[in-house]
Amino acid sequence: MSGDDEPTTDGSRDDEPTADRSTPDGPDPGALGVAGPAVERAGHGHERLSFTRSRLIEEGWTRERLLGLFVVWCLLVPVVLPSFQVYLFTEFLLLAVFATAFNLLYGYTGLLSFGHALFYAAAGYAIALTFRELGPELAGVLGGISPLATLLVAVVLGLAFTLVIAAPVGYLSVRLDEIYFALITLSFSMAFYAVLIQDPYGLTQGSDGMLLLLGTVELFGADVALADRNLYYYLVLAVAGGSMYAMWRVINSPFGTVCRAIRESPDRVSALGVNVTYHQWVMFVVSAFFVGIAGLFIAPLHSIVTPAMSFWTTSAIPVVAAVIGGAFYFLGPAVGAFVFLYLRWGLSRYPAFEAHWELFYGLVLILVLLYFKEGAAAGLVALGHWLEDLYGVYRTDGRSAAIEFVRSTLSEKAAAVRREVGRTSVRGRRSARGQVATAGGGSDSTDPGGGSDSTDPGSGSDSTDPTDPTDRPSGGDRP
Amino acid sequence: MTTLLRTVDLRREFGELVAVDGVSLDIVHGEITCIIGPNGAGKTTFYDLLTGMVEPTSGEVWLRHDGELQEITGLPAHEIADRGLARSFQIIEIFERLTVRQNVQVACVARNDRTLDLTTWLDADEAINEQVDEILELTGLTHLAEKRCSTLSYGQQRNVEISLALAIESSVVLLDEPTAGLNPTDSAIVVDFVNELDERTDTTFVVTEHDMDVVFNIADRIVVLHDGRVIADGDPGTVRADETVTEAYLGGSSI
Amino acid sequence: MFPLFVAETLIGLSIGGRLFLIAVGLSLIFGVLNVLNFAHGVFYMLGAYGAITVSALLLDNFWLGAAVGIVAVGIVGAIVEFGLIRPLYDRDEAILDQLILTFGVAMIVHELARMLWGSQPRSIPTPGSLDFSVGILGETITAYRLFVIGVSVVVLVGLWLFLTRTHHGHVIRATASDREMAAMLGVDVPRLYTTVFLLGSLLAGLGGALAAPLQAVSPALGDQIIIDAFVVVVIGGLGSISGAFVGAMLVGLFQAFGVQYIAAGDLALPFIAMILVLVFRPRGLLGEDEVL
Repeated sequence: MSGDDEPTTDGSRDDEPTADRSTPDGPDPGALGVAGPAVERAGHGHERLSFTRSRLIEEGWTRERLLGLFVVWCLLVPVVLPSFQVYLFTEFLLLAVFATAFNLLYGYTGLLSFGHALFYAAAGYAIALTFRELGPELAGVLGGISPLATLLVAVVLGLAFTLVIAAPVGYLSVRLDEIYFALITLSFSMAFYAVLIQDPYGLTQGSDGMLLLLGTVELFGADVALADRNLYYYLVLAVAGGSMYAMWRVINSPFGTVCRAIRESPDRVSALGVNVTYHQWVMFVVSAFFVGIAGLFIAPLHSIVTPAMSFWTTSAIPVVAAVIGGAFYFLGPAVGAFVFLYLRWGLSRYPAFEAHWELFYGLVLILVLLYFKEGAAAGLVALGHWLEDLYGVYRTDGRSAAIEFVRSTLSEKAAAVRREVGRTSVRGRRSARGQVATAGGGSDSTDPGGGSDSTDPGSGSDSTDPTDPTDRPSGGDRP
Repeated sequence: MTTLLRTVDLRREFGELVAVDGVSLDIVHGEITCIIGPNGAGKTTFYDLLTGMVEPTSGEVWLRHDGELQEITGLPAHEIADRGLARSFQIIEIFERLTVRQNVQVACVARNDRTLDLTTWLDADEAINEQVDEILELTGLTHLAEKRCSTLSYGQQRNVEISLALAIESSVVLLDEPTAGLNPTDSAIVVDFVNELDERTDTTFVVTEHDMDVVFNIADRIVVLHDGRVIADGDPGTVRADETVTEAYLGGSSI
Repeated sequence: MFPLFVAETLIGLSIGGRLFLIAVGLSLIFGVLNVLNFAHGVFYMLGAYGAITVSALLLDNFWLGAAVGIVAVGIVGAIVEFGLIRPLYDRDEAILDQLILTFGVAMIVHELARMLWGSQPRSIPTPGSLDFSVGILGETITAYRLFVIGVSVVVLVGLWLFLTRTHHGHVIRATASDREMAAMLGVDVPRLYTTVFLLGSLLAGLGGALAAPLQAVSPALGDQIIIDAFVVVVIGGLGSISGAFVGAMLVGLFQAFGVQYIAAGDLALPFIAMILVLVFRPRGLLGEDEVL
């Protein structure tokens, strides 16, 4: 259940009754990773709303049904969409896996990697090298079926290679935190980039990169091109679907829950008897493994691998996708990847904007960070609830009530947005000055360390001062 | 009288400051020990030393594990916790964006050494959730189980904090100012609660506190820390009568 | 053999001087504000474009152009800090959010630069007053390169004097080591943060403007230089000014010698050095919890 994981970075939502959307009873791969029945809904004053979802479910609109619809859509993509769109959708699926895998570490463990391109590139180069070096050999032995065999071998070798790199890189990286973790992962990927571009052993064709063609399989007398757009799409659909399901299981496993706790408070988790760095390391390797899967299958789609796959701008893609989509939702990064790719595609149709799509990402990124920290996924969830409510009003009170509902909720929302924008700028202005109040108000403590803890309402207590100068020395004496 | 936890001449300096100065204590099974002392007496640092969050400058810490006292000085915090020494924090440290249930789940997963289980669906794991329900029941948090911790009141968060310390089922639980920041009513609830837990479970509690009402309500034994040193140690009656304590701790006025 | 070393040392110091000018502002900002400014590289790029554009179109004087460019970058920096970074200081994940936010700023500035100046690299000649060669131990170097090395030393000494000898410097250092305490003592922390960010951005602009005659300038310059700057500040110690100097000179010499003596190794080596430092001395070679 990731939906209950909404961030309350500034407590801005605390003034509303919290919609409680978790359920204790089992797997529920809901539309946005948000599971559970409608309990209390943030106040629109419509009591009937709590019935809406159960009625919708009665009428067959279960999450399973919605997921099923999405699967059907995915299966139909090659039939319905033109060839280029199939290509774009294939790319989207792989980017979604890339971003979701990255987010296992960022949103679900609290570690921002700026070097995940390393594993993307490592797997991509592994498959390209396998096809170049082993492809002809296997063709000699196996004949017509060899491209398929090569692909299988490449997948195994590629993932093995990714893991072999990820294990030591992760081991060294997770011992650092926050900015230092971001920087060491960045330098690992950049070192790999430098090696690829300089190609000291003449393996990877330097900055030109390597071509990668999957070839044609002769099967039962028919020729099947593995890289055939539709065939490859179904292959990727199966791989991406399997990967997403596996990652969904991981975050809902005991391990995944422990990692989320590590994100919240590493010290607390270690006081529960859990080796924090070891679990971060395991999650690092798991995350790299799924990034490797994305890298493996993106390479044949692009038919080429280049050193740019390991450049830091590639590492930035899942960061942007996760932030825009919403890092606290399981499907947030996938939504972000969708926005990322399709915004670029949409802009590419207007020559004036085409060359400058990064400008829009930059703007969206900043807006999301400043005002919508929960990302697009949260917006979609809210939209979903709103539509349900609207439907409920329509079914019980008829059309005019529904129109009234739309009008009143929209104006409420507009007011809320105005408030939030106002709050942010005011908060900005008093930002650090507010610390004076926290540190000085309520207690006359001279505590050097306790003042940084803004969650300590104990400073208002009328008994003895709970902060304790020697008991909490500031300074780096953590082991 | 089994000794569960022993410190030998435990000392920690921060630069010039000696926060804990040669403390030797035995914590005995079944007794609620209260460690009291004015601000700056070194109570939290003492806990940090016991739990491996701060390394001692010198001295030893021993913990009973598998039936015998073993030295745990210098072990990483998670290994000490794993051997049966749990703690709560004075400044609340819980998993704010997780639900109460998930908070306790994490502790129960840790207790069962299931933290590297990547495939089970946690919410469907009956063994763990039975334990979770027990803990929630015990700490009276059942009705709040599905709430996100950041939405709870301060007193409720305190309760979650204590639940986490309890949930890993250690032989010794160190509570660091469990009533800090609570109003008298909530304080009284916590006190009753600790007394009740002490009777219902086999856990041995050590509590730091500065609220004297609380201390005399729950303590079987009181240890007074002053400037990092133990200046008195004994049952509540003895300590109450001890003049050094009155002098050092209360600046002359009687308890 | 000996003269060869002189040539490489001079080149190394020249590269080091430029690297220091880009890294010092980054390190200063991190040391005081705890913000790793991803947009620092594009500020440098803006400084270079500012110098080129103003001196080519308006004033026909490199020094005036550079001055205008530097001031413009400082203003952009102050606006970014005031408008965008400031609202994030009291978040739980402030450091990571700010990193990602400044990354967004970098994307925007990069694209705006492409719109304004196009993707073609530009360059300007070395300013006439310093366009002559100087002989040192049998090697020659252009006076302008020596000038850049000199400026980097002046900036180092100037900042050091400013931070240790002036009242404002003391206030900045006190705030860097304990924000809450400084606030309690009456320091207007938000304003100080903006000022330091402005100063750091000015330094980025200075580095860019002075580098304009030495390298081709394109909108992508920021993306490359920020990585170099990260390498330098990490090796020297994130948040340390003298560390930035040592790191810059080491990397500069590294690059100058690496090209000669290590086959095809000059690109990867800085990153490997960065990894080694992070693994064995995460606070950097000189890094303490001090801004100096």
